[in-house]
Amino acid sequence: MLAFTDSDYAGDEEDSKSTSGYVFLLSSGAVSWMSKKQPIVALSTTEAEFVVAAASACQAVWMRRVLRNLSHDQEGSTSIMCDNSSTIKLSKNPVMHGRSKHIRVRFHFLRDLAKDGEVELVYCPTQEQVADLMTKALKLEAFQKLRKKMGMFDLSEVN
Amino acid sequence: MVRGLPQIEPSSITCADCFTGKQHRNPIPKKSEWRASKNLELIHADICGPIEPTSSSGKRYLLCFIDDYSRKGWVYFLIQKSEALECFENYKKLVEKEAEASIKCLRTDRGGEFNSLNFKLFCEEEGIKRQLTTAYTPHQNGVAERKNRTVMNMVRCMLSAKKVPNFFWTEAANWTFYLLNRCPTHVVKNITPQEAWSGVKPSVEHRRVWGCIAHVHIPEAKRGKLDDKSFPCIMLGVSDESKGYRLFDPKTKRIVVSKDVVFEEEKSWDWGQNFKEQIDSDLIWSDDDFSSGESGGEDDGSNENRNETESSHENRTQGRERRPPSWMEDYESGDWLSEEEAETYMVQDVISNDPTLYEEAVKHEKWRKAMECEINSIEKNQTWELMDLPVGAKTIGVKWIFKTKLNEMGEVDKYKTRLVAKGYSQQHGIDFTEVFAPVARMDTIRMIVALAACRGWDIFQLDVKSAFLHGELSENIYVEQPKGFVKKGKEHKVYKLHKALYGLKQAPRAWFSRIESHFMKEGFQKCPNEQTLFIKRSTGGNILIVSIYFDDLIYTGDDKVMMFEFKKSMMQAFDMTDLGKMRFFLGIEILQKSEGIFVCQQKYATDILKKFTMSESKPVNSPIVPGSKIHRDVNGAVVDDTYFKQIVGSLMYLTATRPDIMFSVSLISRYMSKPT
Repeated sequence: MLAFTDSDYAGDEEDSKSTSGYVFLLSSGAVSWMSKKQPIVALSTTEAEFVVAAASACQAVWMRRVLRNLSHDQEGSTSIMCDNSSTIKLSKNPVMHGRSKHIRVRFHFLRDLAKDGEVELVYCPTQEQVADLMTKALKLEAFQKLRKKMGMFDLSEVN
Repeated sequence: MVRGLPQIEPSSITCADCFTGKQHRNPIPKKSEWRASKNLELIHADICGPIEPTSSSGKRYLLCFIDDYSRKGWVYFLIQKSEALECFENYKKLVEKEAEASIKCLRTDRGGEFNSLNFKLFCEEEGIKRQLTTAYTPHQNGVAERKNRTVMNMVRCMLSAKKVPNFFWTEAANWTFYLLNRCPTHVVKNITPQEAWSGVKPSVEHRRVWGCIAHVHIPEAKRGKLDDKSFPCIMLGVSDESKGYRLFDPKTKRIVVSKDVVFEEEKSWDWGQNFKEQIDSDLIWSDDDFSSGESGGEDDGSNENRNETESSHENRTQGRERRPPSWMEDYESGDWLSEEEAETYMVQDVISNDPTLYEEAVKHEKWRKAMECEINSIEKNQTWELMDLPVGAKTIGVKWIFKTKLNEMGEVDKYKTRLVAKGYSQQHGIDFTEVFAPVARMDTIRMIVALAACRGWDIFQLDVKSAFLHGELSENIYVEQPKGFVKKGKEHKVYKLHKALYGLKQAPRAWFSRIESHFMKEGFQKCPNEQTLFIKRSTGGNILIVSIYFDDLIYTGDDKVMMFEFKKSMMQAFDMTDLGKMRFFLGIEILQKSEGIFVCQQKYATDILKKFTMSESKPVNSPIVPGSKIHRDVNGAVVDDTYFKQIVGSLMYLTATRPDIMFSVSLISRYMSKPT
């Protein structure tokens, strides 16, 4: 199982809230996805990414549990692909946390999950970021490329 | 002109390049070669609209039928194009009875409303030949198209002549048809369409200028000695049902029917600027007549009188068009809307022509059979027992729901009826304590599908017949006897429920506890993270996975024997339909192939396009313009937010298999309140 997370930053013109998006791929097909305006106003891109990383980590934990029940254990932790390296660095470096309270809470949550081997944040370049589809209006080529990566086909290709 | 030109022979070869460059449309004959020689031999029909503003009862389309022989026209008003079939059914009944002939042929364009499968089926069933125009050639439906133009022209003129607000267009159109049927036309020689149709010369003596001021006499019984003897109204036509004029009282904003009227034909009412807004906020009245206190012919005396003296006039009103069925009217005239009708309307799915009332359905053999089947299933299940109502206990009403079930091809699968309890009258803490609905999350279902695809398993589907009827009740609940199945001689008795009925608040929970205990007995484990997921492991390490979505079950596993035995035991314990391999689940089409499992919602997507009349829209490659931002248009005109919410909701469900439109859909869903 592989997860992609992405967020835009202050995408809403009215209240400057950011948009979260994640996609979970299971055996190369998308099974779970979300695109949602964040409940809080993020003060930095890093914080916005943190919010969505934490949300997808929750989903990842739930899905791992269900899959374990279905005897489909995943060896090792679930990789969460994130295109913001500062988020990844921040999640690994315990020193420079603490700009605001909710970052700190999310940070501890993520770090705990990483320590238990449930999830792991991994860097992935923006071009490969499937969850980009969930957070912004993409150009046609990029849109079609990412759509393919989610395992979606045109109906005529299947038949 | 020029010199040196060689002799050119006219060529007889057909040259492809010439056609590529120069082909034009073939001429369309001005006059048709064939005319019907009898009533109802050929009917022309067309829909016109949407018309802005909507009428007071929300009608947006005008559907007209024209009989080719007599050229008499009928008009119906629709809220949505999809109501066309229903109107046609009504129209058919009306005219066939009147003319004592049957419709032989129907000519329409290729609009989705006429081309739908249901429409086709209905025509096939009734033996009506269809004539469809070729694509983009409305000319072939000339009679109906020309009628539309004539009618709309007249409507515009009538509205403008008397400065009547535009939302009275349905009234104007009605009157227009009434007049046109009594005016000479080019094709029918020397008689009016009305006469050609009915054989009786119509009287036009009662016609008045539309929209003029009318003084309506107030009957003696309604007034005191010194009260006014009349009040001013606006003339809107003649009434369908009673012999009298149809008038609009601008003061009370009601439709009045009266026969004691004096007209001032040259005058028109001063409607004022803000009349429209005033009316909108005040009252919605239906396009149909409803008798009001002021109507002239209320008392018995004058009623009889009319019938005797003016029976020749009856023909005049007979031929007029009928309105959409009465239940629709109930729905529109907001104040009259009873709870149950509101509920049924919500139960209705995307596009359907199913009856909503028992009285309507009982006329059809197919629905009667389905109702008997449902009652049998209830009794077989020992759901209830007839008894006297204990003192202090309350009964809950029941009603019938009708639904045509379609298969994944969109064809009629079966006609289904359901007896439901009016659970909304139950109160928390008294009639029920806890509620819970056993629905699986979409994520879970997709995970099961993905897992099965990756392991190469097959997924199967079972459907529990009358699932909720299996749930056992712990509370004492009494319901009325259902319509049409009241036991003779025991009319005052009620049913005490042993098992749940649909509509009861505790029905889903009762059903879920029942199936849960059944699974536990069979050795399943419930997934602690997902209530509706059950797993059974055999000693050999094989696995069977079952997921519940209300009354639909899907199951998969790696052992064929285990799956077979599961199916057998389920079929024994419950009344089940074996749907075989999972193909159609919650509106999602599933294609199980050796190279993987594919899911799509093709039918659902086309259905919602049809519902929002966008089937003809151009498809695009990506759901949103790159880099676009949307913001609230503060000054924009407010549009119907329910309509917008319906669209967003329908699209939201489409994201069950379409992650690629997820972003766009959730983006527009942010602007659900007060859309502009």
